[in-house]
Amino acid sequence: MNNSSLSGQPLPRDNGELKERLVEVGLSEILSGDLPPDYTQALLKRLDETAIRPQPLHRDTAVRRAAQVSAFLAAAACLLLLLRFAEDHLQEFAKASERVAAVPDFRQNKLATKNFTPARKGSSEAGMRDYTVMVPEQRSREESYTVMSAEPRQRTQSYTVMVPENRQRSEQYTVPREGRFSSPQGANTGLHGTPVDGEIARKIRYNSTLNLVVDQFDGVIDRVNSVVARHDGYVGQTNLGQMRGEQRSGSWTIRIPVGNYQAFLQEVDEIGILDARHESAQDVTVQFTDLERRIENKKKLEERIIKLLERPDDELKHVIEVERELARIRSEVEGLEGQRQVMLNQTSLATITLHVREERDYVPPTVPTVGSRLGNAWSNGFARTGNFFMNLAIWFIERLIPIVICLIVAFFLLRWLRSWRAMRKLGAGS
Amino acid sequence: MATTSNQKSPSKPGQPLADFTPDTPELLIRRHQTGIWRYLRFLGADEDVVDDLLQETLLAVLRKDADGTFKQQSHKQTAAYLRATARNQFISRHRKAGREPDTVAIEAAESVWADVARDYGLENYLEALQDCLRSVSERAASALRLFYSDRRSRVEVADELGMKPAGVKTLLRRTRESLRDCIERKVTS
Repeated sequence: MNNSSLSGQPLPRDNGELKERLVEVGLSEILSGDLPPDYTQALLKRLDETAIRPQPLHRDTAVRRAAQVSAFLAAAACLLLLLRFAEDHLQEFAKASERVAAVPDFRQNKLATKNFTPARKGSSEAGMRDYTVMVPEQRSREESYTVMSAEPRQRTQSYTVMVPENRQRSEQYTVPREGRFSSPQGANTGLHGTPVDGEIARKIRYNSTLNLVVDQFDGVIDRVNSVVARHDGYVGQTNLGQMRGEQRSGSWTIRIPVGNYQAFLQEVDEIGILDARHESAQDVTVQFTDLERRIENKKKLEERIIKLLERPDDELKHVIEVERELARIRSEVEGLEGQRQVMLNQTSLATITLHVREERDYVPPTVPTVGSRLGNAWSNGFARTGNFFMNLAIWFIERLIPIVICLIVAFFLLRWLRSWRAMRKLGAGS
Repeated sequence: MATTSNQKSPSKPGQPLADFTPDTPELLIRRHQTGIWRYLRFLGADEDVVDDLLQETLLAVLRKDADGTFKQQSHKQTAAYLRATARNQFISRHRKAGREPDTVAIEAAESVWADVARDYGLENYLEALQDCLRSVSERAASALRLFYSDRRSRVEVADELGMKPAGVKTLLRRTRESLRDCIERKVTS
């Protein structure tokens, strides 16, 4: 009994033998009924199970197209985001560059900083200009003057002062249009004095900060105390310390009568070399006037209440009520007078914060020469270029996040698509 | 078995014929499964293997047809592609079993098949064989029936016909040769 005449027989190479073999295939089928089975349904079922029946559009093509469209949309979205960020922040970037360019240059005698705060709508604060001016003196001085309007949203005027002796000193004050400062040159009047051509003397709070450098710190404390005593002032707070190795320093918070304010500053300047000086004056005349009128009105009310008490035919309960009201009014008057006293104290005494530090062989900045200015310009150019690129880098880093996110999404999308196609090929080949 | 002939229109190589409509999976299976089964038997695939090879061949081609890797251009081209796939499956199966296939013989077999089986299902060839069987002698017909239909061994056939086994072998060989020549005459005529 043979299973099959073909099974196990080696395949011949000769054409004749191969054709005989073909005859054998036919004989097996015709004589033994060795018919091939019908696998149609079985194969269709297997195709259904693996879900790769042909679709109207080949699936990989559809996925590829979807991925291409997604990538295109992602790229477009990234571009739009970039444009949006660029539009929003390009101006900011330009302003940042301007700010970099406006870094105070203490070696060049130019206007170093310029800040302008406009009056806010509905705010009680006035618009304010604050200029800091470098003065080319033997001892370079940084001076800052701020004069603000006490009235809300009041229009302001600016003044420029030219200081003689080839020392171009540009001071720009901002004062109310209706202000009573006679002139900028009268800064002594407007800033440091009180005489004005109005009915009420102006009430101004003065604050100054002075930074001095001394060769020897010994004796500084005594000199400060003696200067303060000479101008009828007092020291509110003292801090003494040794910082940065052997360097000693001290700071004082000093209250000086307004009348002696200017003289005190001139005298205290002589203790050491002036390194920096900031002065400010805040006009509180309106608040002070308002306070006084409120006190006056309350006192008049108090008088009328006292007159009510003097009526002989009043009932007891009325008397009690009137006395209670009188006590309330008196309490309010006392509170307002306390505020007035505080304001008087603040406006009658200027506050000076004095910082003194010890620094041996300190050389103050000098008037720049042509060479030094060229050198400064050269180094400033480098610094500004560095700042420009630094800002540029920051600008890019800020916008890098959406770009990186888009790239990550695109990367994973492409990787997924690649692996999906590889798996499809693998499945088809198996 | 469907054997539609639609390869009349000329077409550029690699492009489908002008009036050719690709088969659906079901039609493709029905059209080609018998031919591939016979081809695998011709190559010498065992009975217990040939069914598996046939299914794997058809599935692989259908999958490639589904994902666009393979595009049907004509039935003849599809048949050739299926034979190539079946051949590769056969060789792969041989190698997995630790046997090195005779690739020269396999290529020669492919050449013979392509030459003889003008249609892709061997239908005409079998019709010719049936005609030729009528012309064989009584003794040869008995030997063929005992050997191929009853699946007797040569010794058993020899006992049945009162011959020596070597005589049976010679008889069968000569009968096949005569059938082969007969078929060639019929097919080429």
